[in-house]
Amino acid sequence: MVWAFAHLSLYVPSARADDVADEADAQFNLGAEQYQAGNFEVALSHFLASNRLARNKNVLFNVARCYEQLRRFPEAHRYYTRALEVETNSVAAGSINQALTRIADRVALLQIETQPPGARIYLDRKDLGERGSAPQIMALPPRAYRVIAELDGYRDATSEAVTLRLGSKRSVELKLERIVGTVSVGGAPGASVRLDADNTPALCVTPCNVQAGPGPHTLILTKLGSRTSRIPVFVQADRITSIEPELVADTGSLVVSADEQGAGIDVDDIAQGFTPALLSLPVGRHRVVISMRGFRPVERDVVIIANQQVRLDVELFSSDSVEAASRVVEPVELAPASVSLISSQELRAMRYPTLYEALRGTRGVFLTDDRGYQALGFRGFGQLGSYGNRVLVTLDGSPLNDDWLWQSYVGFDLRTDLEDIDHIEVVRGPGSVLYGTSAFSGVINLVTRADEVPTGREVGLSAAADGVARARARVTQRFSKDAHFWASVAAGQSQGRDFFFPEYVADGPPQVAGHARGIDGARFATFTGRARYKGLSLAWSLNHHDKHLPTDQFQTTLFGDGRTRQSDTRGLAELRLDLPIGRFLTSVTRVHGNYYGYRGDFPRSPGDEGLEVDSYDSFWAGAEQRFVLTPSPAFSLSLGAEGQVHPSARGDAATETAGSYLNDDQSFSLAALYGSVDLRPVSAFKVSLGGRLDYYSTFGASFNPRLALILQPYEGANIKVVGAKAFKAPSIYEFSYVYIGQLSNPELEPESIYSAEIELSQRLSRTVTATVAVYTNYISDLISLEDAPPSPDGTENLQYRNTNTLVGTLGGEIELRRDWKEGWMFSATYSLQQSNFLASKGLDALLTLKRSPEFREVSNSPMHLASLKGAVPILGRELTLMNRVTFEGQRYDRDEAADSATLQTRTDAALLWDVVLSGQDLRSGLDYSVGVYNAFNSQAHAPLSDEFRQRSLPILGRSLLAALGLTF
Amino acid sequence: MTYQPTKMRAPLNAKALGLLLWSSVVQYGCDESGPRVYTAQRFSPEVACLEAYAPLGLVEAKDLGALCEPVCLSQDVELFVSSVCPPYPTEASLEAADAEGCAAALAAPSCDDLEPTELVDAAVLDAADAAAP
Repeated sequence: MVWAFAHLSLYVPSARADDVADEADAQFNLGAEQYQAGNFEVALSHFLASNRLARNKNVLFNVARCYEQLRRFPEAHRYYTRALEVETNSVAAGSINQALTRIADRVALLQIETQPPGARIYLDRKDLGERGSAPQIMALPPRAYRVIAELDGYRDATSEAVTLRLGSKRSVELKLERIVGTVSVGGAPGASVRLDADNTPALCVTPCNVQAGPGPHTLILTKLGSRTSRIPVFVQADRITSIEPELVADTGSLVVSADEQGAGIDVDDIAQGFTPALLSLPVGRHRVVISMRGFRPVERDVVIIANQQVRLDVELFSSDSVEAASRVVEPVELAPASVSLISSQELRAMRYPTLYEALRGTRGVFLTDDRGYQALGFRGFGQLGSYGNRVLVTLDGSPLNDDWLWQSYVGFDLRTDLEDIDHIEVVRGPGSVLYGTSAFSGVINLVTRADEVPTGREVGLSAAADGVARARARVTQRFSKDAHFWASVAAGQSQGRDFFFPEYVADGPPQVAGHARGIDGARFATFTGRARYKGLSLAWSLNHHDKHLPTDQFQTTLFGDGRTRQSDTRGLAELRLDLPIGRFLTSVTRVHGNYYGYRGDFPRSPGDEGLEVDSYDSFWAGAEQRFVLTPSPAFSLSLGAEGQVHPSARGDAATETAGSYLNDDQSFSLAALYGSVDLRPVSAFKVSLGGRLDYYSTFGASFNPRLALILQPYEGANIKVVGAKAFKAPSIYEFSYVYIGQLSNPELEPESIYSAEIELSQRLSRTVTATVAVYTNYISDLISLEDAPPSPDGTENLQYRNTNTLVGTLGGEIELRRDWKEGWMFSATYSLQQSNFLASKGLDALLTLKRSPEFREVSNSPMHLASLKGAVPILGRELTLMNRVTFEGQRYDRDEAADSATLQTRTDAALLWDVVLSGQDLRSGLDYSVGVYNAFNSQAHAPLSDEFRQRSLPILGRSLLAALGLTF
Repeated sequence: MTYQPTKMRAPLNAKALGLLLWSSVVQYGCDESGPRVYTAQRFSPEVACLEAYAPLGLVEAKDLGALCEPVCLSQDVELFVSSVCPPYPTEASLEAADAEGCAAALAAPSCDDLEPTELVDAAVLDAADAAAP
């Protein structure tokens, strides 16, 4: 006790000016006096009063002492405990502990903890008053207790009854359940959600649920590029409150302009409009792509700053990439071949109705049309009656020639229109190193437009050429940057032309008298499309063409009879997988299925067996695997293999009176291995070496190499030196077709062409290029229909044979071209070539073109070709005027044999002027073209093969073009 | 300039597109007739044979078979025989099989089937007869 009071004296509150302190001090002193006097009840009341006025740990100790003296041990224990909690002096704390030990056996202890701590504690009933907060140890009279815990924001927790005994200690732990409500935050995804304070951790990212105590709160939403949003909410206990806040983007302006108006603008893969444009974009980094048909797309990263304007000015350059020359996309100047591109701008400006028409005026290319088929010749060689089978036409790299004659299709028998075509690649010279057969004189690749076309629909109507009327529709669906689908259907018909052939005046009924009226029409339809997901694509193309023939066929059918017709149906489906394997290796897998069907109706009189119907049907399939290794820009290796199976190439022919005379079902297959290596040790020099070995079940093997050296000796100069060989496999028709007077020949060998070329291009400015090329071609083992031994009954026979005929060509070309820029374009070309049947195999004969005495001039081989093209933007993209003037020199007719009794004549040169006005309105989606083809109304002729009595046919005279399209 | 979204573009609903396609298909699918050359063999009464088939006239037809029963046709003053099915040219008249001359024409062989020597001999004989006093 002495210690206690001495101790207490140290802690007597010093006199203060305020009344409370004085009163507490007075009460304390009174308590001490009464305690000394043994009046513990009175002392207790004074100490409690002092503690109420001014809390003090020493007073707590004295209160405890009083209770102990009064033998009220639970209260004494409680006050000792409270004193101990606040005691900092170790000596005093020791005294308190001694006191607690002393009375330990006289109290029952209840240790109470709550989760979370701090809950108010009640015993048995709340109306008995609060007993402090948890955690704490209570000293209580021995009996049973029920503990109640209460905490704001939590549900009350009540313990089971706990029975206390003197001298023992029990523990009670209560877990309080929080009272919450839920806020469901929807709206703008990706926003971080905080509650009530900015500096608290984010609770979740929208869309999400936030739990909070009942009552008013503030949700704070933050997202990069958006303004911080503060949303007051009132949370109800055990209820879900949904909110859909809209974040207001923090925006800035982006001004996009290009030197080409109307270029598409994509921001983060979403179409945003056309150049020039002022865009309001969310703050932050964006990927902007400016693209336009016919131009290389430009990609830029821009950072948009809040409330500021950023400018993006770009210059677009014409796309000059080509795929057909190497089967990989590469700049034209690095392609190992002589290449011309017919750009999308030109296709749109001239609205060429067919590939045939589009290629007119292309350097080195000339055209023929026998009203059954249109065909191309390349660089001085275009054998009449060969159906263009020395030219390979591909659609996105997939060959479209048939498997009967290897015929190429370039008119409406290829496609109803060119609206799905983005651009056309023309590769002059041998291409068998890549494609095998028929890539003999050249390869033409039609590249479809797909990647840049936004989701939408297109419809169109057009009229062109000889009474052609067409309709088309297309749907494009873009699912993402990596997935899209498009399909188009088009159909049309042609009224054809009326002809007068003096050769037939004496034939036929008087009403005909050499006139072919109303028997030149055609009908055609195309269904094509592509679906792509990343590197996997499925493409298809189906074209049907039914053509009436105004001429007599094979000089045996009835002239003027409208039944003379033929139809061609070509189908292709290709599944392709482009798969990158690591950084340097790419795998290209291609499987394809094909169909070609032909039907020809050839009316004759009953004396000539009546109507003859020929047909051919073939399904074939193939697969190709290619690997392209490009470990560095200086080295590229391509290896591949290809196989095709033609299980049933079925030809039938029958006449009304004789019935079936041909029922031929052939099968054949081919396999090929190929490889090429490109080396570019320095940027100014590239060498490309490749070879392909084809094996055909019909004739055996053919190996075709190509070597190209490309030099860029100084700025803007590009020199290509190319040497290559190509082949044309004997077709199944040439092998096996049999008719009265025509024999099959299973011994045929492939034709070969050897070619050497030097091409120099000089870029005069960023858009103007001049090109000069010289070349020579050497063709051997040419297959042609020759006289064969007569049949035993004396019938004279013909048979396809490899002739000893050699054809040599020397030629040169010049071209000046200004690429499309701001609606302007210009090009001029001139080609000079001379082809001869060579006297011998020697190089001398080739270089001097020494002619064989057995032959006259090579037929259908114009010495001069020239073209001028120019486009002028009259009203921006709304109105463009484009002109094309082409010149095709005279061509000799088919009378090539020196011993022929008739003279070999020449057709007149053809000078054609085509002029088209075209334009488009981006807002309405309308596009249009009106124009005149062959405005000079040239009546020049093109030579014909000896299937016809005529030696030549007049080309199409003046014709009108009109086209209207709508994109929506 | 700010890009206007696609709502600004001219509307064209799917019905119009379907109508366009349907009309194209219907137009495309219809087959048509056209001029056909009707051929027949002229009956040569002098040698009582049928000459080679030659165009007789134009007819409008979808088809024109060659394997019908031979008929006798007259044009101007000449008779023709043809196994080409109808329709017949308007310039020619279909004659009854028993009409004057038709029976002979229908029964006549092809001139190509006659023995050349007979023709030559006949011609020689005819010439000799003509020259005979």
